[in-house]
Amino acid sequence: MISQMRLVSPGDPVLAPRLLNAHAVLPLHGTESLSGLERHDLETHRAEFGVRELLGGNVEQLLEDLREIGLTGRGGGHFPVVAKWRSVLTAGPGGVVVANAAEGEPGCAKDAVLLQTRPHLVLDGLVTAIEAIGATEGVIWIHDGADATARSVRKALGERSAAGIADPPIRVFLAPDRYLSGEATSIIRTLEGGPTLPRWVENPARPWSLGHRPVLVQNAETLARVGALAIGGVAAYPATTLLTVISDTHRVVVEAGPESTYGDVIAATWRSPDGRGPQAVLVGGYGGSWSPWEVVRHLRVDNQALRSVGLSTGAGLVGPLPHKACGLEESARLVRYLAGQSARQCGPCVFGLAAVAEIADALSGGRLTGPGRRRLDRFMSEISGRGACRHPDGAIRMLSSALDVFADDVARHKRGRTCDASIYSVMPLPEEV
Amino acid sequence: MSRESATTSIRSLGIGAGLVILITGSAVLTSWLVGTALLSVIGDRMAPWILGRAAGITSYLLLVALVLMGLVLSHPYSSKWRRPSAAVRIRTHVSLSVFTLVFTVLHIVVLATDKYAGVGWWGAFVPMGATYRPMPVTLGVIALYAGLLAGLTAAFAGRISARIWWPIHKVAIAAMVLVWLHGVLAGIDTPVILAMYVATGFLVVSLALSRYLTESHRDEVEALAEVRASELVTADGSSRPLVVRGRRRSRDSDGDPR
Repeated sequence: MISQMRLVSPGDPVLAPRLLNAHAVLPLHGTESLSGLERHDLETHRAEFGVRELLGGNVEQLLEDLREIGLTGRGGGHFPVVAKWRSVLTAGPGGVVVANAAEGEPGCAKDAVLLQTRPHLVLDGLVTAIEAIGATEGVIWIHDGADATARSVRKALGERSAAGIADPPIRVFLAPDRYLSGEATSIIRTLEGGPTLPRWVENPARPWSLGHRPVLVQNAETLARVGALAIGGVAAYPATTLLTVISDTHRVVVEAGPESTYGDVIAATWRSPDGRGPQAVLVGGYGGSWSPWEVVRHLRVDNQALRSVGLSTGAGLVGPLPHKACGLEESARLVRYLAGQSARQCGPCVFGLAAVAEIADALSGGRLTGPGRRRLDRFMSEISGRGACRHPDGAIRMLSSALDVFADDVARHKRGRTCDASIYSVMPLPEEV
Repeated sequence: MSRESATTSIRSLGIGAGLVILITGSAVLTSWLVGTALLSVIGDRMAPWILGRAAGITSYLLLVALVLMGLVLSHPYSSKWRRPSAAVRIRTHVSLSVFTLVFTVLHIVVLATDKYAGVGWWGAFVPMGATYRPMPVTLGVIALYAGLLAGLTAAFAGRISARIWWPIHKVAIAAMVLVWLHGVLAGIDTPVILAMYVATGFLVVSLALSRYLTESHRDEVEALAEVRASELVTADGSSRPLVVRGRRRSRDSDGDPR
């Protein structure tokens, strides 16, 4: 299966890999059997990337470098890392840095790939962050059942202590395997001894804290990039993007260079089930946006470039939709899944998202009436921005982009004629394993 | 004006006209009922007593409707019921509370001023202050205070945190039970009245059971919260809680911003 896939060689000028030197191939579900990419033990890591020096008094220089490369959070939010760190710095020393690799997005696997194959890069980044903000402890946050990832992390921590590296204490937590376990406030509530569920945030601008200890939560890829920057400096920094492409029966984690386009990425990684290009692409995550393939194919894989057309690289998901699949049915499935993954804590999600999922089901099943469509539009505008976390917003964003991109399908389904594509589903969902 | 907005204006005009007719109609009906009642008992030595009883029963029936609407409002399935709309439900709940209060006041004033009733102002507001059936009257007195407290907390709904007013509002349960006992112990003289208390009591208890036994999203949150994160034991086997100093900011009960 995998050999049939057109893999790009490490020297490919278009997709020049830097963090990873090849594509990683994973099954649609789970991250237990990764192939195509070798794990770097400490020795290989140091040979490939170099040895990280202690930060010492160079915090300001690191922050300046972070600003220069314009690093943003790769968990999906793309908040500037420098701004976040400066804000945490004002909260004082003694904090905790969390490397968030829960990766609740069922389609995404880049963080698992990093921890399974480049654990020391993430750990170097984590330790750099700990030093930079004057924290005293690190946490690696993965989800329960990610055994291969947990093994790799544990092994890496062992390799580091055997080599005599004096890292600050780093603890590994296994979160419940749910969509919202990677939400930053879920992590903080857990570390406080509470449940792994999101919390209402009164002032989003205030740094997170555990008692008086400031907490910095960064995605694992973000920290791997901090690690690469701390080792090689701005000159050697890989200005790339990690993407997970859903390709028929597999997922491919690929590192796209700053000049490569989505067309290049799809050409290199995607196996079309019907010999044609995709009709549309889901970009960012299940809470991301659909976009027609003609719009995306010429865009560079870069968050700035995507922003110009109202998209975001988000958590790095690229979900091409073949012509033989139906975008509406696919979206209704995803909304149903997201509604089911709600933490059941606030009205917009418990009632709003559930109602929206029901209407989306009716829409894809050709049972939607005029008043139903108006209710859908009203709910979508009322729900956005009103939950404690951004979970419902993402689902609404995805569905509303689907109504836009698949407008022809909407009209066809409304007339009660569902398409022939209805039996073919693309995006993997954990419930369907 | 677009066709859609024209349709919307016509609809809202229709609803407005309907409301005017409904309110006028109910005012006429109420006046007629009260007028008929007054005319039939006027000059009768028992008039205040009959009026007091009638006001009490009316107030009880309104309270039943009020509590039923409250149970509907807080029922886990409430979001699945389209009609009446949420706005209509809450308005009905509020209006019923006002009417319940009005008839309760009438009930109290009439019986407190009736010198043959054996209640008096003292008996109407002080527990065990009545000479007529002191125990059942006392139940009514306590129910009055409980009901007033429930109404007062509802007045703050939306203005103060639900974590404060909502638990206190549940004193309404005590008010309902006490009023029912008050009615049954002090007000039954015919089988029809007894049947009314049994039927309405059954209705309230059934809906309350359905409301409290149905799994709500809060139960689901609890079930989700039970699945805990665990720590992978590292080389040094450490597993201490992470919070080391300072006030814990854990507010696990506030996950629900309502």
